[in-house]
Amino acid sequence: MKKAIWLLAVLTVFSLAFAQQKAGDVIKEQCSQAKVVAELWHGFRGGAPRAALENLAVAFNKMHQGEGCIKPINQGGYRDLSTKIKAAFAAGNLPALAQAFENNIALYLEADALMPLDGVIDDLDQLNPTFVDAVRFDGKLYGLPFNKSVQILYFNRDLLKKHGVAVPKTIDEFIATAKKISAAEGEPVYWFRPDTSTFSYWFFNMGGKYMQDGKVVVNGPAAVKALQTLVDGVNSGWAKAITSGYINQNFGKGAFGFSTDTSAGYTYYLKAAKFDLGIATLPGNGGKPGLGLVQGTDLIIFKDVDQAQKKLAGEFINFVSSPKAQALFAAATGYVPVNLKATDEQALQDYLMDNPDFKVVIEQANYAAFEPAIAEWEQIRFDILGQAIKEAVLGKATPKDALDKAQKQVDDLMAGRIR
Amino acid sequence: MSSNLRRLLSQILIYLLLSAGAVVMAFPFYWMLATSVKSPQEAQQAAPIWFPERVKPANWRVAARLGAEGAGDSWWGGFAPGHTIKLHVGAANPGAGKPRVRVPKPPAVFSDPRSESTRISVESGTDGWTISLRNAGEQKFTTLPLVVWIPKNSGRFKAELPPDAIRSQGQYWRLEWVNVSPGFLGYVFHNYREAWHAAPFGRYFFVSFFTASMQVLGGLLFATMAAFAFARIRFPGREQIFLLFVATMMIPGEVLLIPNYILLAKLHWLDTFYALIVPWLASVFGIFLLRQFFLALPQDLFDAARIDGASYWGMLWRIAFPLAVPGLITYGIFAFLGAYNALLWPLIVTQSPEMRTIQVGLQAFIGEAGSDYGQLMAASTMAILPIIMGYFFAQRYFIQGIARSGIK
Amino acid sequence: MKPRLGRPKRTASSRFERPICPRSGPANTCSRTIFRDHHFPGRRILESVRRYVFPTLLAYAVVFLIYNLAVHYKILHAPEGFFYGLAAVLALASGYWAYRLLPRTGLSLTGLAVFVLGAVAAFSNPLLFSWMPLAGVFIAYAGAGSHLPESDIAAFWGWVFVWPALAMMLIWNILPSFFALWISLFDRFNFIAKSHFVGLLNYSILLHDPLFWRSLENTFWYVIFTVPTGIFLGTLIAIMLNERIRALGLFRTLYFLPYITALTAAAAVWQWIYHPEFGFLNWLLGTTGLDWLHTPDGVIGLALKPFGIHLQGFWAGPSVAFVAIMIMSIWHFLGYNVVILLAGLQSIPKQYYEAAELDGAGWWQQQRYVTWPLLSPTTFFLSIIGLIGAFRVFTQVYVMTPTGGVLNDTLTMAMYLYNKGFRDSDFSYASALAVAMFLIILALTLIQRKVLEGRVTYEQ
Repeated sequence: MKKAIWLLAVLTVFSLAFAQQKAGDVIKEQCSQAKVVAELWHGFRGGAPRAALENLAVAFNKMHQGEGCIKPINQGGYRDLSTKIKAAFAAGNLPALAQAFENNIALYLEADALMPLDGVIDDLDQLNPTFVDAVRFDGKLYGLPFNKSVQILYFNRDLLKKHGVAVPKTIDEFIATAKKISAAEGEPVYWFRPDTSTFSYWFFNMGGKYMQDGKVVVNGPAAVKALQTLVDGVNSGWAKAITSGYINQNFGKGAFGFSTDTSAGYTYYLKAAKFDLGIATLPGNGGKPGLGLVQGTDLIIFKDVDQAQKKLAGEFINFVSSPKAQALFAAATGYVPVNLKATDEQALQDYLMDNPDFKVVIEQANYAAFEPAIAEWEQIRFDILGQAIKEAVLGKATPKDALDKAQKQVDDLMAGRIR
Repeated sequence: MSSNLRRLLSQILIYLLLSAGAVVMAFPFYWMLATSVKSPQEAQQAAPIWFPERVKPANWRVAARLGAEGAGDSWWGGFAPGHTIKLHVGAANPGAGKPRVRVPKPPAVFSDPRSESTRISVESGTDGWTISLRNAGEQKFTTLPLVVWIPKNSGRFKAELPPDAIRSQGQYWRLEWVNVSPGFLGYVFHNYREAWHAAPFGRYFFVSFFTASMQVLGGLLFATMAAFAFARIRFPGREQIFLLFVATMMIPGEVLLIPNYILLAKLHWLDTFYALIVPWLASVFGIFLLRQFFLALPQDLFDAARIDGASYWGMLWRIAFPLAVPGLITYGIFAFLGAYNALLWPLIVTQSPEMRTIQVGLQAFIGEAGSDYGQLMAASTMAILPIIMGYFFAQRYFIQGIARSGIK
Repeated sequence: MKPRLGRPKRTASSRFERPICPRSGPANTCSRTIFRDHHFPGRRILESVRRYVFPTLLAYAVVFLIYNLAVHYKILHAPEGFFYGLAAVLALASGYWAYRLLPRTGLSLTGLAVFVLGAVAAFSNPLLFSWMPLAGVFIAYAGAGSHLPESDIAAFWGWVFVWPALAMMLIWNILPSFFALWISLFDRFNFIAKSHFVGLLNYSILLHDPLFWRSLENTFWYVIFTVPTGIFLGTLIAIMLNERIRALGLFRTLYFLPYITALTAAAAVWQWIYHPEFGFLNWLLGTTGLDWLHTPDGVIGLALKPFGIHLQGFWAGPSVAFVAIMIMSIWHFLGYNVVILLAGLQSIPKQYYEAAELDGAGWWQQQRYVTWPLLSPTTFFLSIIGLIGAFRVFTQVYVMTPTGGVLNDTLTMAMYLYNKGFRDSDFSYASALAVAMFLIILALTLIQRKVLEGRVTYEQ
């Protein structure tokens, strides 16, 4: 008997020696003892978002100990994630939950693979209506907005103070400020990635719309004007195209002044910045903040799994959209809290006290715009429009030519004349 | 005399050129090892640091002492209940202000026992501060990260254990340690430990080794049988079937990628070991190689055996197989190398992290590690280590095998 | 009386005749048949045909098994009753043919019965019965084998040894190639949306696809740069290593180590070396900030720009990023070339060099007139292998530039195939790409053989 207690004590101490485990290991343990395991495929490679999601899963699993557990599995970046999901269609092993952009949802609906969430989400009226409307297809709700981000203006407070300028509120002010500081510094201070996301900001705020009469139009006057602005910026020396890595990974390389980037990068920017980082709502037109592109994914539930998993997935969705979970998640990552009541939670209040800037993100979420939610959009935004923007910004083609070529490719793609 | 001088000069030139080339060939390995013992901030320097902090013996002593203080383990460190770690931070003017000390919490945790059960106290001295960290809880932790803000107007500072990151934050210098109680080995191999836990590398190694071994064994079986038949059994259609095998060598793997993927999908073998092993069991290269070996064996040997009543099966395994061992080893090495180093096929047929081979796992880790190149290089070192060790054991067979495959 | 054709009258003891194949004596001398000493027209034909009985039964059994498994796993569709009937008839015919020609023992007859029964019963329950014909063949051999002449035994065992590898080849190599061709004739075959037959549409789209031509150009530059450079450098190093130097083992190891390093890990290290801010190369060259892997400007265009010549597109050459990847690739497979070339060099007899030296040839002339021609079989081999391997480059490009380069400047054919097939989930188009790749590799290999084989000097 004594020996047994001694053995037990040794084992306990031994297990405590490794007690401080990573969230991933904790989840593995929880799922090995659960009856129902529902997989959640996500595209968070690392950093705060991944850790936050895993910790949410740990908390949820604790509440459902022994019965069921959610197992988040990372599949790479977002594009890798959609690749893996398409492969899972072939293999016939779709997960219970996954992250998906609206255009991915449109593709998966072609195979009628998703479970409608109308009856599943309890507090639907507490969620941000803009985000919820974006996930309605044919009137039915197919996803839960989970980690939605919105573009915001990042700026270097030290630099602005040095040149005695205020944070610009309109687009004209913005361009003028950027020009002034760039001239003084001798190098461009507006850093941007030449991709569709950045382009969308300029495009929306110059009055552009991607869908016109049900057709995708990328070479309208607003589009050409937006792209021309970026190209002029590069040529005049107040804008710098970042072609490798994220903007926050390039901070060592010169004077950063502004960027119009996703709020999801806030924790990364903070970590990388050696200067005083500030955020503000986007420069807009006529007194209001500019429209920011909504990015980030929604959670979807696949029909293909068994009933028990679907039920558990539904419960997880409700857990994750609850005010407390949203508050913690937003505080950790900089994503917009989707539940409007999340701002009442203590966690978010504390975070707002420590980081008063964060209310900018919440404010900007009221001025949000979306890209089209059609199945071909993934290919269009990366391979067609993205390439056109890169060509124009890098000086290989004029904006008009690049966009006209892109429009032709878009038309061909939608008509099935090219792949 | 002059021809001797010429010979000497040419020898020197040859040595110089070869050495220069060898340096270029070997440099990435040195760089990989050096980076794997750097902290993120050390790695991210424009001018390379040839001797990172972690290879300096002075720091080893400090790390071992801190590890002993933290958990009584000066090898791997840790933070055990009831232990107190004392970290000294020297400053020119300690009276100017008191440092702020905090144990950082992982993001979005609902509760964090490590930061909650650590009691922090700071004592000022004449030459700096001593930060005491006591574990008032009941859990032992493997690492204890720390963040210390030192007021800028306290002048130049020097921490006992070099911090892993130093940043400017307003009026303060922000010092960060990933682990203030590392222990000697935990300090030097910190990146390796972190990389090992960041992704299931143990599992990746198992999958790689298992599938590579199975491919070799299975392939050996099939190839030996077929090669023996082609070499030493006269059966109708032998030449035609051999020509068919030769013709399949012309088919590039890319053509087979998608049909095999679809086939595996229909068999429900995707994301299982079958997908990683079975399609590779028939290797024309192996059949070629072993056929050469069997052809080199004398025909009388087999005639005599046949007369003595040996069956073909017996002849294959009792006579031919033992005599072809060098060829088998060559084939084994190549098949193992090919299976271990492959990326495209395992990438396509596996989905869950449990079924990733080491290469797929490393490729995924490249995305996950982001800018933490120390961890990434540590992971890369671990990935190539088995093959390099195997090479040093079986060097002769590697070289002979490759040389043999060229002379045909 | 007319001589009776075929077998003599069956009696208990004359059902067959034990072969007179001596067990002791040289093999393959057994030429006596199992028929009695009856000479009838067609006997020789029958005897020569008997060797094919077991191979045929074996082939039928294996193909039958594979086919039934394929139908069971819904890889093939079960055809109409006509085919069932045909298969059953074939089984019966083969069984009867075997029955007529093989020695009849209890076991052999059992085996044949199992064979035929299994073939017929499997149509009702494939999974349960489709292995029976195969088992039946082995049982039949167990019964008849010891009464058969050497050539028949060899025929059986030869095929038994070859079938596992052959079946694997058929299932995973030969048939999939045709399947790839078949899929490429469909429209956007994936498992998500419906697809239908469209003939050569994918190929016509391919011919007009700018990205396809771009990837072809990129791959072409890759081959042109890396293969000759690798062989040339390898030859130089091999010649130097061959000059009886000390520490040959150490040098050879250092040159060979990159070859056994997994490309993924090597790509990770080289990506770090090429890092714009903290990479070693930029520090070495003093070009901090130069982003090697994200510079899409062609090197030839860059080199000629100071002279006022502006090149665009294909003629601007491979991009800086791609050249960076090429350097890494050469670093990787140089060791392989060196080892093979060294072996080739060591097989050149010394007499040639001595004769050349006697004729007054200097070092360079010796290399040109002795080494290079006699090394040409090896370099020819390396160039073919190099060409095929370089054409299929994927891993290092995928790891170092996952998006295919800023302006698709490092997009190779294999990577485009992966993108289209697995990322965009269009298996048909990707299969069409694969077929195109195969044809191009085939053409290039044939051209290379034609052009270079004439120049290869084989030792007399």
